[in-house]
Amino acid sequence: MCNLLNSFLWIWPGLIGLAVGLAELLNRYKSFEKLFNWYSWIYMIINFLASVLVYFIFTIYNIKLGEIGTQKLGLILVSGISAMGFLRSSFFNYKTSNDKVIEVGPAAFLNIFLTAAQRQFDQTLSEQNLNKLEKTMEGLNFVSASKDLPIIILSSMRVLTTEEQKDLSDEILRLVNDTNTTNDVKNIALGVILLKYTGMHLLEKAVQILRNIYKKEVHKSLERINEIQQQISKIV
Amino acid sequence: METRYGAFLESYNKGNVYMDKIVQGFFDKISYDLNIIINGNDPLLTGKFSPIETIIKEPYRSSYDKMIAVVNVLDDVTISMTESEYKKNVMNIIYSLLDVAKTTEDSFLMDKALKIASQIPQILGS
Repeated sequence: MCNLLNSFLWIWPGLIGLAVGLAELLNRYKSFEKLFNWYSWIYMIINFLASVLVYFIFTIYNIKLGEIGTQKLGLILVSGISAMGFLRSSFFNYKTSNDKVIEVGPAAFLNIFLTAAQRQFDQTLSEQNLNKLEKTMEGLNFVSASKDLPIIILSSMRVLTTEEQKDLSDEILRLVNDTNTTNDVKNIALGVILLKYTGMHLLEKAVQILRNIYKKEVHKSLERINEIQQQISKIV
Repeated sequence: METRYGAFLESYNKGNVYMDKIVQGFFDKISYDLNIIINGNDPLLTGKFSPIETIIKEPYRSSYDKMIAVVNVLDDVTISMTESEYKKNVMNIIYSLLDVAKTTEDSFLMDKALKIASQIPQILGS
């Protein structure tokens, strides 16, 4: 049993690499939902294999790592972490005539898969979400919803930092301040922005609550305002 | 106290150019009536409307903050103008306020504008 465990020690640095890759993808997507597309798997497997490779290099060539290398746990940690560091490094930066800096090294290679995974994730998720969002956001008053909907969502969530709230506000304000887009399109775009933070279920619930509020309060208030304005017009 | 949406709201209100335009339009619209009231001979109304002019000129407030401050001033005014010869000017201002509430559909502004305007029928009946 002990021999069996020893012969599969290489799995552990691989798992460290896998976990780092997964954490990186999660940090980008903010969600487990639809995370596992082909490129995500390839990305995580590259991390896994790199860590395993470094482990074998250390053991086969008997590279001296000092005191930490004498313990199996130490060897596993050093293999996993150093592989992650190597994969994200660049040998040198190349500056093009357009002042664009191109990194040359493993990081650039890894980035190809990360970008591809992100693109595929976006495409898959966007197609599904757009179909649902069109119905969910249809007919909302964009001017008031652009403020009220985030407030409802934020007040129910605990995890959004001050910076994230400001980023959310900036994104929504770009829509609010844009005068060349129709409100129907803005509504869908608002839904897409909020979806990154909420997921579809919470967004649908928040829109439903907002619709109920508008149905009861806003419509009644608008009617009353029109009545009063007519009264004032007669006098003034 | 910092709310869960405080940072969002602060940033939203500061950067809302759409609201800036509406509020600026409101201030432009009411400036004529406001001037008549402030320079008029009803000391009670003049005293109550003067802060609006100061609020409008404040450089460091966001448009939305200014709007809220103006609404709060108006909230305290309408009853006192019952017998005033400047009734029509005040009503013009309230009419414009109702316009802003209608355009923005901002729940706070709608509530306040309706509360302020709901006093008008009593005034008309007097």
